[in-house]
Amino acid sequence: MNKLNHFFYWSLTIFISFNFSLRANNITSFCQLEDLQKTPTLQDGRVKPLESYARDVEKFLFEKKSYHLKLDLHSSTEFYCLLSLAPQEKTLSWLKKDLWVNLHHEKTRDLLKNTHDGKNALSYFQLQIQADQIRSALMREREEGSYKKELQNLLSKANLIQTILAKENWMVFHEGDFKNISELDPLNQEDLIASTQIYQDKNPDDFYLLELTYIKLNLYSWALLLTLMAILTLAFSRRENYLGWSLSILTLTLQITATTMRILISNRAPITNMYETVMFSGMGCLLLVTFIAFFKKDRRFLLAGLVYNFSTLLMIRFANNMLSSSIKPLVPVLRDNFWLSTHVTTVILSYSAFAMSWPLANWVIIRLAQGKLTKDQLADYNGLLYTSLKWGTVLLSAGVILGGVWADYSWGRFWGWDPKETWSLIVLLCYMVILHGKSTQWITKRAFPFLVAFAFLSVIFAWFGVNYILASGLHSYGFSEGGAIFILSIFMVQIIIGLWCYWQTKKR
Amino acid sequence: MMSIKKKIASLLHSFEKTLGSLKAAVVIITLFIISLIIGTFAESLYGTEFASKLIYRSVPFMLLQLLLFLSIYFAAALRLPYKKRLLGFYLTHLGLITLLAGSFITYKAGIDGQTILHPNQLTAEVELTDKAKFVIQNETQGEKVSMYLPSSPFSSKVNVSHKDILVKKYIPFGERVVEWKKADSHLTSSFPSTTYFLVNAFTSQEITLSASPLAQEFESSATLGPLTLHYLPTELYSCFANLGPSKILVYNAKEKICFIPEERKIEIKQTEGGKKFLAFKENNVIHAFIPEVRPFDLDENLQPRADSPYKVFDLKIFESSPNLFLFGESLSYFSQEEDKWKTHELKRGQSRELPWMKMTIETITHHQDLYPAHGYVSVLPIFKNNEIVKGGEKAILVEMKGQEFWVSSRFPQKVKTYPDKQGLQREGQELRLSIENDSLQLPFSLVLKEFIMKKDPGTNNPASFESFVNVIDSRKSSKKELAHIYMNNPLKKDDFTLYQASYFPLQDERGNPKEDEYGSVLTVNYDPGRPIKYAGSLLIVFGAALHFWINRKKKEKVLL
Repeated sequence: MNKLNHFFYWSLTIFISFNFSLRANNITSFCQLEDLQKTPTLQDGRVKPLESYARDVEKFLFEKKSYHLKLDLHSSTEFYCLLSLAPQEKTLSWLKKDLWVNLHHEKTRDLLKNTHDGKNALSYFQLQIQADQIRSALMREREEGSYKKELQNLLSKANLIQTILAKENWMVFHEGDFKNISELDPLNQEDLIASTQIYQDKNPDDFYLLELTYIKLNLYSWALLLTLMAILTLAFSRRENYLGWSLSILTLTLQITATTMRILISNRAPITNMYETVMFSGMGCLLLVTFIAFFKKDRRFLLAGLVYNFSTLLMIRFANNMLSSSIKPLVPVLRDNFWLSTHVTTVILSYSAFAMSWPLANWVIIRLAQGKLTKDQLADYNGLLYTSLKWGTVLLSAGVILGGVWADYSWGRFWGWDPKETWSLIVLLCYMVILHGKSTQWITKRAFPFLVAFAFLSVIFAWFGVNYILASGLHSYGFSEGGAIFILSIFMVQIIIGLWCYWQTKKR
Repeated sequence: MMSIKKKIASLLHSFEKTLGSLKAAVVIITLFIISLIIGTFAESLYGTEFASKLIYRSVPFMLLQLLLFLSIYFAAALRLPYKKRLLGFYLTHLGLITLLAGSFITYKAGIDGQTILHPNQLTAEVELTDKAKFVIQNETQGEKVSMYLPSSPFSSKVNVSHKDILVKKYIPFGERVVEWKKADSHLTSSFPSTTYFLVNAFTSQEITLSASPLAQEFESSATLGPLTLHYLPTELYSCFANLGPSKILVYNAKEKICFIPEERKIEIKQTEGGKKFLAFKENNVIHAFIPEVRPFDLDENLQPRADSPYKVFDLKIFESSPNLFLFGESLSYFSQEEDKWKTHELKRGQSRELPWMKMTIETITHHQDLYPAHGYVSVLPIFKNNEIVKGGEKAILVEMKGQEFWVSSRFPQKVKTYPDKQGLQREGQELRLSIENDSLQLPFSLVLKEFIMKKDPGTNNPASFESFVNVIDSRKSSKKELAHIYMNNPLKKDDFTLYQASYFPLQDERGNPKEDEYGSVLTVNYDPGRPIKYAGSLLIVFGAALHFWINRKKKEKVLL
């Protein structure tokens, strides 16, 4: 009898553990399914493919989109899926050993110094334990600043990971509605995969799956490569060459395709946040210079445009902390607004025109400093700069005024000295000073390119500074505002180049 | 005679030439740029209102705009008679002049305000946020007097009086602070006052408690959620520290001493109803107490004795709920864990964890001879997430009957005037002093029937706001029309345009926001300069394009 019992006990144990590992295996293979990435999820007020959301989550939690590679996982979806569904032992060991949150601020590191191991990162396990301590430090902190901001950020991270682990974050499409995955207990995996098709049948006008193609194609990375090649080809060949032209046209085509996809996905003009304006301005500038270079039969325009486009693509590809690529619903006042689209498009195009003058002006001042420009060449280049400024000022005047029309239409006032509109006026006035000044003796033909190079800083400030420095409050610029550092470095670089060139030119 | 005229003419001409020159344009535009940069930074740091007072609506900036206007005008005038090549130039400069003129008309004659709609309440009032005034309302007679306050962003001396009210100082961006004042000498004994900071993971609060009768705005007790704070005379601390088994203590407020019954061998008896009862004799007077019912000294008929200095406390009744007793720089509470009363020192700067809600208390300031009073200091406001988080109150220092006090935009004051000299009014009159925004009445009234906020699916972010408003025009019968106002779809009526601007959650009786019930805020706008500004705008853009088109072949001489 005793033996039988023993046997029974063992077989049961084996059965249970077998069953358990089967379940765990099952989840692992389920999370790896390619089709899972396509399933619709409702997040931040929009329906999007799971992969797109999972990437946003990963980016928010770990400040990079490729964190899952560290864990030997294939996609963000797999990571997100495992976090939500894997058995507790697995997630717990992740939280303890593999998932780390960065601590940026000196005071946060100090506050949590007993719980992190000196790497200025805290395990998510510890973060959850310390949540109360962080919350009370937040309550204690009376000064608005980057420390307070980081505490809030840490709490939202703790909260997000908590809701994911509790299965309260993953919204799945089930029986005609979006539900928390916890409501579908037990989860039928086939149903979840099938939800893609069911959702599409129900909403034939929703291009949500296009977003998956869009994020996977990485069109901007390809465009970056092509732009670089085009620049090299055009810069290092002496005669007109068709290769450079073809590469530029190809880049332009890629960027137009990407923009179009984004329009289809978001269902609005692609100019509603920083990421989109940067993206649009690169494309706009390239389009503009292609026209000008073609009609003026001068590839230097094209080259200047490509250089600018290259820098915007760099930002899109690498400045992820500053420019968020995720598509979010708009605040009410920006919706269905013809004037807004017209106004922003015009302003961005004008910035593109000024942007064309920027690399060109810097090129000219460097050549001047080296003493390698003849009088005729300088005059010729100044002519190019002048052309960019002409386009820029006309477009910007129109843009500023259209901004007034928009404000009038949406808020009932034409002009309200709002920082964004004031700065667009400042940009216009800066270029106006140059255009007026060049007819006096104050601005000589040598000073002109210097001023044009510096004037673009006003564009940088109107475009980025207002959002990253003025809007977030001057009190709080610091660690997370990648934007502030970006703006500052551009200013520094321009000032150094400017001063060095001035000094060299003066010497001659 | 002639020569003076000539002189003036030549002076005017040279003025025209200087101001209309390109160099003047460069200087003026540069000055303009600098002011604007200062303005935007000021706005980011200190808020819209501050920036607008500092720059955009300040006199120097107005003068700069006038200079700009003149410079553009003279620049165009100097280039007459008409030359075809300058057509674009003329149009642009004419456009600029028109635009500036239109803006001036808007500034002078336009209206830009807000109307706040509560559901089902009739309103016609439009608040003009850029002008504040001091209002004296005679509540007895129903009169209202008001004066505009200075528009400077900094604190200013005023010195204007109305009857016996003297306005001394105006602070446009004030912060309410606790000021510590010296008590008058006629107060024989001193009363402590202390500021504590209480904090846990969910809340933090600074609380000032005072035992001084002079500290009219401060209480000697406070509640913080379920927790009650009692601020007691310092002498009581020793009794809390040495409680006997009866957990009763007796306090003599006159002599400022306290003792426990056990100390004087006073027996605790029971009444017939089973309540605790104690009595002792002093100077042939029997003091009797039933501490569970009331803390007062009772006479033979069990009525409270009005002149008695004695009070008793039965601490037993404070054991079941969170009660914190504070004695300036020390505290006491009942610990349910240890089942006893605990006492601790709490010197300035020290903090101690309390047994409730992981709360910590810290003593920030403690005064024995000074008493607290609210005052205002002028600060540079702090602007965060589109609202003023510091310095958002306007305040006026007023003197009346030789006494100074503050009236602020958040806390209006009620005062009484002197009785009339002729003796007609013996009582004096009730006055209400307040700071309000300037306002005007619309020629029609509005009633908010419904406010709808749609949200983005699965989130709490508003996707649209819509107001359904009944417009009642009493001049034309009393017919109601229902208007549907939403983002980008304003209501136009009688030259006014009403836009959906914002909303606010309604509050229940306790002042907590109700869920999904909102009032609506509309922007009310009247802009007679609008067509002029639009005409100017068109001219500018068209002129600039034309200018560059005409000169497209002409290389710029200076650049070559």
